Amino acid sequence: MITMRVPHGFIRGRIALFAGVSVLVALQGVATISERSERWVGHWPNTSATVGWAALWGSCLIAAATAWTVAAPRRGRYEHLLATSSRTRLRVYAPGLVTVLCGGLAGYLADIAYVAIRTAPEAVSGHADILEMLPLPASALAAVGTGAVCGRFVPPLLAPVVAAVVPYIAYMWVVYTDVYTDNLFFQDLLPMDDTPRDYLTVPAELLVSKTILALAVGVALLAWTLAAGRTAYGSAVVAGFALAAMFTVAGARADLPSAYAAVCTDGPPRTCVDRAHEHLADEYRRLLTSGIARLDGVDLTDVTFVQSAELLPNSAKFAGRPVPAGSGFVVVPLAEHFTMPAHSIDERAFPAYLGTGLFFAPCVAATTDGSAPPPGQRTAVLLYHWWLTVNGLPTGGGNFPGEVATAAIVADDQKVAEGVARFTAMSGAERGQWFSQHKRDILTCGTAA
Amino acid sequence: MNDSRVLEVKTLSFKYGRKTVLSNVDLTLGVGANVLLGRNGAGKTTLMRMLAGAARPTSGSVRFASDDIDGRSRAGRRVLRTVGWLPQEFGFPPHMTTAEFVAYAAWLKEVPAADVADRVAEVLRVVDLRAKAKVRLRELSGGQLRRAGLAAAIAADPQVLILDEPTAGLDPEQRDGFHELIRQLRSHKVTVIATHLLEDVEALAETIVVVDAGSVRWTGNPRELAGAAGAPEGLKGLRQGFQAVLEGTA
Repeated sequence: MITMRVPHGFIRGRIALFAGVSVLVALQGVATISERSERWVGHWPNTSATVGWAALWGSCLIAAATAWTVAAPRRGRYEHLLATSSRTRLRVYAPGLVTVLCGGLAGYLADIAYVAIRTAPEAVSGHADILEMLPLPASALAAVGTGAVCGRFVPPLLAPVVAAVVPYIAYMWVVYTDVYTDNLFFQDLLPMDDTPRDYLTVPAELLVSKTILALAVGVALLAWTLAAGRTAYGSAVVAGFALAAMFTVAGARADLPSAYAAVCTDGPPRTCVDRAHEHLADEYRRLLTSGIARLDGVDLTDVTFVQSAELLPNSAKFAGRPVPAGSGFVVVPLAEHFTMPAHSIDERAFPAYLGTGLFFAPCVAATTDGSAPPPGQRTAVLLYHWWLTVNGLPTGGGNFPGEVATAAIVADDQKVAEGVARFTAMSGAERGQWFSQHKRDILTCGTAA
Repeated sequence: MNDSRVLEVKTLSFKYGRKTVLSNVDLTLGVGANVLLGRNGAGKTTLMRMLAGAARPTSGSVRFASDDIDGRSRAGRRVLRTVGWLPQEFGFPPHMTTAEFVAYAAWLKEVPAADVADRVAEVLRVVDLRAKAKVRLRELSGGQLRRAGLAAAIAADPQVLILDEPTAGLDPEQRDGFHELIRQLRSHKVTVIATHLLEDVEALAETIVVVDAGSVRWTGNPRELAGAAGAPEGLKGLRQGFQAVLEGTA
């Protein structure tokens, strides 16, 4: 007996389409976003902004799936059924379009869940910014619109290929135009951007108008394809207004004053990082503690370790936080894998940064007036060379960009070589005593020995 | 004709680019089998597309029961519910079974959801495909596929049935079966059959419209067509009559 009201084959096809689109969109999103994980894990503002990158290939997939679906009647040569349907073209194509759209949205939702799950355990403050995430789902509708146009008007076998390429070509066009015009407006047309959200924020008006623009373009393309002329016209008008609104705010980036605020912990060791890197504070302190322990008991309780020389002035300037009390500051950068912040500290390179901060930075500070090399410079070199050696790090200057190659100096300078040999031959107790005696000289690049 | 179920074609023309495919076609087709007879390239298929609402004329109109057949307007779409079309060549969604295909066609014609199952069963009974209801379309033979196409065309119980070369590619036995099927359907519907096969005309036609070079050349019944050449009824008479019409001697 035949009992179906809705064709089962139709439902099977829809379920397969939904599953295929959602899985592919989710997987490509995870792959694309995790490739940039050093930029966002543990930092909510960056995490919220980074989901937009899922749209790069996601749009291609959604557009291709839409084109495949819309072109199916032409490909299967049963378009006559649709052409003579008493339903409107919108209602005829709606099941397929809605399926692809829902599949794309489900995929993007999975991507958002992925970044949230990765960031939540490491983030110490803030929360996901819904506004930052809105352009991503909106881009799904624009992709469906693009795919629908290709599915209707491009030869059916070519349609998915053309639809898959169009969003990427649009992306590349915007990127190149942005580069050649040096105008952020073009970049702001896209659902993704490369602006780190550590110290900057994108205006809410820009995010909203970007979202509306994507939605309106998607609806306009769909309506035009489905012969809904008035809707297409109305959506085009809305898209025009959204574009006009974008003109007024595109390229705008506002400072995030609270991100500059110094977050300090009592010692030992006493450390300060800014709010934007608060999620790294514990790891920073742990690595400093273990690094200082190698200095054989030297007392650094009166020293404050800071992530950058600008931290404290910026904290006072932007966040109105006073400079914390302390007798001396040592700058030890966070050593984040040479990329933007928000991820984790490069534990391998960190001792090199610490050694530079302790031994070299004072000498660099002492030579900024252009006078003769400070008296403690040779001592700084031998101490840093010894430090790299005991930490098992290369001495050829390859630990971070701009590092001094101590091996070359030791090879050229007999006195430094002798000093390194003498220092290495000391017992731990002797070195500890030496450090205690000369701590002030080390931190000021004075004559230590 | 007094019956309101009349398909009217008024001064219909269709141009494809600069080429005129149909020129000032006027027709009035009532209930029964109306056969459009013409050589290949005469414009029959284009005219059938216009009648089915699948293409819009460059000028003129196609009306059924006083409403334009035009998918752009609500009234036109309402009329489309009453029109079924079996094109000369057609494909199918490969993942569907025969019953699902017919149900899909019924959905497209807005058959109420509660009635779809009954309609599918009825239509498959009419075309003798009940045994193949759950078989995927790609597994059907050529003749069975054509029956499935016909089932889709009549899924919404249309009042106008447009059949374009319905027996093309069928073997003689299948053709006889198809003729019988159309004879069952023609009595209650405005049935328009395009063909270039005189066997179809002899088996089915109640009214004959000879189309040539995009124009209607002659209209009448089979006896009149044979008589136009002074020939007796039958296949031979139809052939001579058709020839006489084309040569302008009828």
